[in-house]
Amino acid sequence: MITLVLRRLGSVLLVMLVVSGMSFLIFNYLGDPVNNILGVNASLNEREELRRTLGLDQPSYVQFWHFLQRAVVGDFGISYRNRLPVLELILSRLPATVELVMCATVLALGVGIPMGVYCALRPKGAFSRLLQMISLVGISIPQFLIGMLLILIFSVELRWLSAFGRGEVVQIGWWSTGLLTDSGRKALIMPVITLAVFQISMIMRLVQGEMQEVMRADFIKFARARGLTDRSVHLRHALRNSLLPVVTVVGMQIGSLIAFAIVCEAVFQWPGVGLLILQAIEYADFPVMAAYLAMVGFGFAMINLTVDMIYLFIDPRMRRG
Amino acid sequence: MKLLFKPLILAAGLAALGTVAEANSLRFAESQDVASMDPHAARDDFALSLLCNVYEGLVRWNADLELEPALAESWEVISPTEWKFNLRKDVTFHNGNPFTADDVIFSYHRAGDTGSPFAGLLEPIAEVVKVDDHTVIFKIKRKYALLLNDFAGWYIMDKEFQESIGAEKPLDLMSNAGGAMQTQANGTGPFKLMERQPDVKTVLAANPDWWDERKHNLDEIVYTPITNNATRVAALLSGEVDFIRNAPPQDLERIEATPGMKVMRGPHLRTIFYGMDQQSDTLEGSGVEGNPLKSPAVRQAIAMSIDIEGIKRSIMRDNSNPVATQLAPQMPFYDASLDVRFPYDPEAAKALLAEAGYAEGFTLPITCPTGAFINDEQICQATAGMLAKIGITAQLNMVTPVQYDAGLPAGDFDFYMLGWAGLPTIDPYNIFSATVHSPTGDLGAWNPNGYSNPRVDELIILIGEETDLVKRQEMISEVVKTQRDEVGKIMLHQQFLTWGMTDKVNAIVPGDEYTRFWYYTMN
Repeated sequence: MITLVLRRLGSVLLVMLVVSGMSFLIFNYLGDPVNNILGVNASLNEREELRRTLGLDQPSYVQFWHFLQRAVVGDFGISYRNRLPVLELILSRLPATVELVMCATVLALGVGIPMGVYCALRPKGAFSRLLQMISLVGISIPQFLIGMLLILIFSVELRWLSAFGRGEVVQIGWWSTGLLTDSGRKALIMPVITLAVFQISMIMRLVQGEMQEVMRADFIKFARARGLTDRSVHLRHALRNSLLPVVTVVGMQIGSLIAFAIVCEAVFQWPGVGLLILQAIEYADFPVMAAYLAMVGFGFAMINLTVDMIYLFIDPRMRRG
Repeated sequence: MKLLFKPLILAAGLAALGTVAEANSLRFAESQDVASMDPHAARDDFALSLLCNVYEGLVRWNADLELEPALAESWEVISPTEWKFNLRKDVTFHNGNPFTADDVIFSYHRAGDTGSPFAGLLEPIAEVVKVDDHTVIFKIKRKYALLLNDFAGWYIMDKEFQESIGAEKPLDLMSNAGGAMQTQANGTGPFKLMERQPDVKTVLAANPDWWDERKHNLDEIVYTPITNNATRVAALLSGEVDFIRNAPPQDLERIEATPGMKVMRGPHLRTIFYGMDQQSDTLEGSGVEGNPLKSPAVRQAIAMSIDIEGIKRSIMRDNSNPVATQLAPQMPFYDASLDVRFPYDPEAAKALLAEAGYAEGFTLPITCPTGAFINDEQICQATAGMLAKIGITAQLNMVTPVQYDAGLPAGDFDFYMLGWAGLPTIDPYNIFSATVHSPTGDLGAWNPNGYSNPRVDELIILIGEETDLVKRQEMISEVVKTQRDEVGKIMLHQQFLTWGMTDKVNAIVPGDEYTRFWYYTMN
């Protein structure tokens, strides 16, 4: 098990290197922050001068090398757009995104699993059909549209909820949370729903499919033969054995949502990392993008590692392997 | 009777209390946040258009875009290269420090020293000499016509305060020296910074000690960046914000149709045009020998193929004004007699093309920014359709604004859309020196491989120096006429500003897009 973890940590490092290295190649095609910093009136000479100062006149691999040299001591540079140290900036935006994604995931699991179980047990029922239809819509409707519809109904028409922002937040150390204030909790509602709709549908379909598969397995028949209650058969045996792929997928989903909840954050002006990276791309804010992509690489690798660990607990057979 | 009156009186009393207690808070949303509270950190009109409420220069633009005294009470030209400024005596910064000549000299070095983004703006100045606490003399390197215009965009900061927070220089993007200015500000302007969370919220409050007579009645300005256009409009419609600058064109009708909402319009100083490579010997991908864009006849044919009234009607929804020259009618030294477009006449355009030897047409690569100018993509697409009618096949290349800003000055584009407003100088010299002068290291940054005429170049330099208004007008008109007759640019239109707000807000909509909140009132 230790070797497994060590081997995984090694690949984490490799993933980070490759991802951030590739980001420097992409920067060449992304544009140039110089105009945003100097303004349109800057002369060609002034532009050249700034490019030299920022090191943008160097080839990609040299820029990447400078980035690595500074990154190993924790210095990711200054954001061109926000004029703040990059690490500080990303860390200050992270709580907003993590809170949003976690709330959405809890909602998705809380709604998606029961729906999936219900549909697996009564696949032919009218209510199951309805749920399946709704989930199809949930999977196919773009996030942007859900967000805008919610805003139109609850902000513009009913005026119940704020169309943008996080409301009042409370600072606990470096973490900021909106869960402790009324306006903060209210501000979470629409973004959380927007983000959860796809996940609910996906989890429901996943659970349903897996569980129907498992229900046909021999050990379920034996369980019934042993005279166990329906409840025990369904939840302790069938559901538990269906959850493995759900954990994998939800783990990956949490990762990609934290990294790229861009659409949802942009629609609701949610001050998280997704909005930060969107604006960084628009501004050609290379230090933020480079550091961010490296951190995303790190995050994904860590999540993979964690998911592997969870497998070990859910499925004892894997502990031996 | 008694029973009836009591509640009425009570209600009236409560209503009176309500009006007294309610502060005028202008909630303002914009697509992006300002990069910093440092007015010397970026020569960026977006940032300055907000920071002008916190900081002031020696002079400022008034509501009609005329220069008026601000921190300088008066000035005199001692010699062509020496200007004396008498500073206002009763001015304090927001932290209570008095404003003196030392602050002017400090701000000159802070903004003008090598490495600062404003070094180019203050380049004509050789030295600033303190005469006494409220008098300074600017020695300039050469005769220069636009010192006052430039000073309107150069803001004065408090020496003592800047030194106390370690921000005596603009933020250094490599070392983060001066980073404190991200969330702090200490100016002399009508509003002072109360709270700032970058990318989330910036709160300004009226400065009770402002030196000028207070015409506005705002107590507070809450500025929220909302990136997404649809969300920003929704925030206005739902009453969460009072004011959005540059309402998206597709939402104007919706805003105007909503009770209690209005759109205020005003002509923008920015004119939109196509610039093009007129120097290279070949036009890559054109499918013909040589570079057709070198020929004035071809350029005129393209100009005559564009149905600008059609674009105004169906794309701009009447929020534009077709122009023939780069000077908007609101720009100083505008000459109406020159503002005559080539007629829209595809048949004549075809004949011109044939005369120039391109009867079979050619392929024209057009580079178009997505979101830099109002309806830029749609206008480019419409242009492609119109060019097809005279036999030119347009190849559209859409690029993001940040790719566009990098590629255009680098000369990567053969035919491109561009808009120029002449800010913050508000003088034709700014437009000419950036987009008409042949490219050198210092001038013509936005005219790569573009229009080039030695006589025009010579005139542009003189326009920068000449202070005699009659002579300046003559030279400016000559540049405008020469460029128009030689079809140096293919002109489209002047954009209109469309600002959405609730009926409560009375704004002014100046052609430079600055939000001068000291002219605003709320009912």
